[in-house]
Amino acid sequence: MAAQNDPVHEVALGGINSLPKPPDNRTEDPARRRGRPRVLMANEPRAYREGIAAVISQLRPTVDVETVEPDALDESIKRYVPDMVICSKATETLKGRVRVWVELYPENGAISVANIGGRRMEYTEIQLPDLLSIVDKAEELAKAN
Amino acid sequence: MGARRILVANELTSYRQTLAIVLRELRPHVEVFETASEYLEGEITRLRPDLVICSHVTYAVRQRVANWIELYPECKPYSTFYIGGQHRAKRDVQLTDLLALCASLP
Repeated sequence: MAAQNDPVHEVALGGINSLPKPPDNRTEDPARRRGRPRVLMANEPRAYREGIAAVISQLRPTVDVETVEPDALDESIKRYVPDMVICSKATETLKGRVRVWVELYPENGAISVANIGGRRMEYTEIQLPDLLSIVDKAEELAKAN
Repeated sequence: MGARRILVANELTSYRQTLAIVLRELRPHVEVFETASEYLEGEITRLRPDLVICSHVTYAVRQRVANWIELYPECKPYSTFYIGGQHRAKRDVQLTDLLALCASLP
């Protein structure tokens, strides 16, 4: 299934408040925070990885976000046990162990691939709101388990 | 002097959007604009930015913008900064490098 976004007609985002809000059914109780969903960021280049992590942390405060270098991806998956991974190159360890992942701009092209609980999606020009939406889906799947 | 203007024109959309939003949030004293790279030259004319951040610096950027960053061309880990008339190559730029520069634009 392909989610299409025409880069010519994309809308420039405003401030952080212009981005989609999380679903309303979230709670902030301490028990929930201890077991909160985990997002592992391992894409490159570095400033983009750090920037996306900052945005997710700000807009999805119920989610834990960790950033690692791409070559530490497999080891970090085993240690951190993330509910979602964003990376530049999906590995076999990732595919075998993580239910939600995004291969963001592999080979530096405009195409990105997401796997959401076994459902593959291809994005011709993925946007930041798409990534936030996938984070929300990962959180829903984590809650369901 | 009015607020400094930064134009973000990197090629990959989510990366461009991320940079623009982070700069707006963490450097609220600067005006941050965002455009697809194909519209960069027109936006330089319209906005007259003090700093351009892009994936490939163009002739128009070199001629008409006082400060620019060619950030990760081809997503490689090196970048070129042209700030205050000085060129500087930098490997593995961090988000904090960009934030620091935006806080102290000449």
